[in-house]
Amino acid sequence: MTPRGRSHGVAALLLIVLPLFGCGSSPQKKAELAEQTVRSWAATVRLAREVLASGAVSRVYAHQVLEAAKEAEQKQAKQPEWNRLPPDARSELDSGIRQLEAAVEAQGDS
Amino acid sequence: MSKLLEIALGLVTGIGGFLEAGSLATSAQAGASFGLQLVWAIALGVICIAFLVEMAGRLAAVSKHTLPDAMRERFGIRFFTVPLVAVVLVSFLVLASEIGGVALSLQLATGIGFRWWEPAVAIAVWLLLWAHNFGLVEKGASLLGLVTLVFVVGALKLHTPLGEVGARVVPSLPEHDPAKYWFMAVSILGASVSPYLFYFYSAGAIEDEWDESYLGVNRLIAGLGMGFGGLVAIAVLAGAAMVFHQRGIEIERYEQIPLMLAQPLGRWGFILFVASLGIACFGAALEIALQIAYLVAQGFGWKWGENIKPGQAARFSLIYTIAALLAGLVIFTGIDPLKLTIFSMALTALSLPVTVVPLLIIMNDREYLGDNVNHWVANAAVLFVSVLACVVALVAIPLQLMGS
Repeated sequence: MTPRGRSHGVAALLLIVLPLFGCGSSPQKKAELAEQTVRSWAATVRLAREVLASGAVSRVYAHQVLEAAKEAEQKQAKQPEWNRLPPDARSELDSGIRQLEAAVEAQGDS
Repeated sequence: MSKLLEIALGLVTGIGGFLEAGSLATSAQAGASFGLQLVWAIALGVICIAFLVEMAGRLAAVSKHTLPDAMRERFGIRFFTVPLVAVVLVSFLVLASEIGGVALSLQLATGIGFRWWEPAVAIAVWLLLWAHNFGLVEKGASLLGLVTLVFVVGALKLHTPLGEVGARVVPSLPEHDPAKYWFMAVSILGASVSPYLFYFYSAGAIEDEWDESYLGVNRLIAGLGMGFGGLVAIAVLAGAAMVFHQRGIEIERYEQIPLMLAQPLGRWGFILFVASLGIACFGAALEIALQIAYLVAQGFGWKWGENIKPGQAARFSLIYTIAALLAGLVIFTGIDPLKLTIFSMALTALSLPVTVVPLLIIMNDREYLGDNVNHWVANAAVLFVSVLACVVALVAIPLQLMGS
């Protein structure tokens, strides 16, 4: 096979394979991913609050989840997609973090 | 030791030693992101590693060669340096992940950041290898690793639909996010088919002085041990699917993962998760550090052995010392341990043909195996999975890097 023939073959292969991988991230896709991440962390802090309340985990561990969630929120807030997120997604994460923080502090006081 | 006891210990080692940072992280992420869809990747990986482990044991028992030794002899030192460099580099990254996993388990328990635990863990790995023999390293860590069976308990407590798990053994196309799906599949294959498993196994067979009478034992240990071990990995994926996927939680940090056992099993679930992570990763770190030393020493024909005093195999001992201490420094630099784990598994998959093809050539060479050469089924299965993993990795890794 000639070099030109080989490069055409590679290009053809990529044209077939890459769509299978959903190659290319559109702005809409990035916005969807950002919303997914924010809602994921909101669900994480909600679950952490539940297991803390049930006594399944220690305050020490719940604090680590809280810190991880705060870091994730700060990281997302720096992305351009943050301002285009649905307001309920941002507030869900923010209130979730506050509630977990209150629960962790309450455990520390008791 | 009687053959029956060998089989029992081998099975226990296979079950208790299967789960480590890579399989835990990849299975948990896959379950959280795609539910039960990627069960097939674990199943495929387990089939492949069972074949490879059996081959490595058979080579040692029949030819009295370890794998690196046979590769150097068969192909010459120039060719041998290619798989040597590939396996050492990938194994080093995996070793750093395992040490990171132990440090993270200590962080989860104490609240003290994992970076501060890293040097102590690295030194503990080195000290255990320096001061103890092969039997304790291999069997001790794996026996303790039976604690990972808690993931099976957790998955059952969550009423995982076992019929659907069985159905998902058949490969399927992604229902969403195809780039991430294939990247996860590749990472799972890399976690399951880690070269350190079969390199370590071949060295172990020589350390335990196996001969041809152990071929049946070898087949049972490889098949059942890896098979049952794979069930534990599937249990991790299933537990993550039931706890995280159903809540829309994606795993981005190790700190999220204990919730998958704390939710169904309460306090003991959390405690046993931390114990599982620490013990499984520590056992894997011991094996990988040893495996790197075996690979280099056997490949270059140096004296080696975990059953002799360190001073009697000085270069061998120096290799695992350097490997353990350097790997401990990697996470200390601030690299995200979860990202390091996932990517090192993907790189393992990428490098599979380089590590597997030389083994297949030797396993079909009657000068080494006599009448015990490979059946065509074993050749086909291993070659297929290795090439598939590499090809998918070639596309999926750059896409995932671009996406993240």
